[in-house]
Amino acid sequence: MTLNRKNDEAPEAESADRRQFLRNAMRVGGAAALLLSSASRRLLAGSLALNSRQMEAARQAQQAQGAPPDPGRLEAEAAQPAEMGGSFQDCPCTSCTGTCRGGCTSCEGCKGCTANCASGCDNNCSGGCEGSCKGYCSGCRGVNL
Amino acid sequence: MTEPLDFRIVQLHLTDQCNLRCSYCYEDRAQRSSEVMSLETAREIAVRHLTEEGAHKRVEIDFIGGEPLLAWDVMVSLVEFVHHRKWPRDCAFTFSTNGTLFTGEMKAWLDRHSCVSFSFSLDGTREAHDLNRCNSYDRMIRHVPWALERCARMGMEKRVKMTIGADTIPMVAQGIAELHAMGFDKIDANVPYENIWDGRLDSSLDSFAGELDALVEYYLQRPHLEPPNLIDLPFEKIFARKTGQEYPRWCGSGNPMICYDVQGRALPCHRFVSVSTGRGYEGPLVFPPKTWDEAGQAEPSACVGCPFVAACPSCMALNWLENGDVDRRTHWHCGFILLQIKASAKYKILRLSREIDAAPQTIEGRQTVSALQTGLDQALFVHDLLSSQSA
Repeated sequence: MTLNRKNDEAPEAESADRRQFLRNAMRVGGAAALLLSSASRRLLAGSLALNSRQMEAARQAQQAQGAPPDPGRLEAEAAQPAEMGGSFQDCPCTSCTGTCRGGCTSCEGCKGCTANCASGCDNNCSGGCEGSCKGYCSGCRGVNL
Repeated sequence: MTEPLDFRIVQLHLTDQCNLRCSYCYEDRAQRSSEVMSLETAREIAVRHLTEEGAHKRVEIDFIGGEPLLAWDVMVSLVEFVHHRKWPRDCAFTFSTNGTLFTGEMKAWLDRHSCVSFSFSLDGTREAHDLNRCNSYDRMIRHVPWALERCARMGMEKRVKMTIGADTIPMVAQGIAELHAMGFDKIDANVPYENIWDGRLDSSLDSFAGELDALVEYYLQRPHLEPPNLIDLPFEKIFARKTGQEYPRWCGSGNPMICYDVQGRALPCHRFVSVSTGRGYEGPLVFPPKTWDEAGQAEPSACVGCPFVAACPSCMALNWLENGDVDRRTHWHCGFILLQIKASAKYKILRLSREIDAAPQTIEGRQTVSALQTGLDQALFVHDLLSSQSA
């Protein structure tokens, strides 16, 4: 008998550092750990894709207006230290003038972003996201592409 | 640390004997003993766990084998022994069966004992089931209407176990659709952890990906149905890793499970029984949790560095058997699980996009949108991560 422990541990709050850690793990260590053949890895990359209509629907859903942010929660999040070391150096926001504190790391290509992406983009990104956020970055909503 | 569970699963491996020889079965037929667990042994084990010290409030006694219906008299006697006495904690009984051996007398007894639930092993379509389970579909399927009606009458979940064999991958989606059409609500479907692929891994993965895509579409069209793990793995867990946290385990071997073989020897779970391992097990019955750091020491498993390990099912007994450590994972199922994680992300992206789009323009609706967007964002991230995996 296998127990499905799906619901017994609620995921703790994630951070952008964790996302960068996952990307790095995929790129350097994890990818090797997958122990797949080249053909299988190509298959993994190419299968179960989203078509353009599905992708557009997902982007629109990401940008749908939700409840106003809770200022108390944002302050609490901003006060949390980064949990995984090493990600500051990896931050791709090369000219971020905001308080990036490693939190921009999930956002690919936010060059020039002047806002604090870690606690949610306030639509003041003066630099523009240069198109590669692809709608995946929860912090840069509304200013990319 | 993980909260202690409030239940204990006590497995009684009543017999090695089975009337089928399934293609993926890990039990070694050459080693099968003809012995059946004695009623005295079964009673002693049940009494011990129903009265032992411990925080658990409930004991689930799970009859396994082999085919447990081949030890029907022991099952009946033990259930009636426990059922007719008072105990300091609750007790329920379960068993898994190939479903070919039910008699009218057995059905009548089960209809009188709602404390006993059971599940079939039914591998989808007739063709798939017969390929995997030596042409037993007709012998089993005639009992399914009664079993489903019994579940409805007794308020039990209508669930079924579906194993995916090397020859039946192209029939997965059709098989699941048939099981739902038959009346099953929950389908526990999985690829075996053992190496059953015989040089066909890449082609099997290719076929599996297509089946998962079909399942995503199937469940999107039927939002009232609960999807199986095949497209609903808890990939959100990958975001939760922190230094000091426990290295993830999936199954309940050792805790909350304990198993007793035919002679009454204790083991962490049924997969440690010698007919399944080919050798005796002398190790601990409980495996203290490891931290990530501990899992990465000595000769670390490649899985420690995998970003998806927290969402990846694994069999601790097979890990021990193959690699000498319950946390040093086997990886024959690795590609299948990664495809399942990608399918799970895709399913969630499409489902949440629809739900967000349909949310009303009210305060409550906007709160719903905000809550769903977090999950959508994670699903997009995971899907992107696996799409960028290059050769």
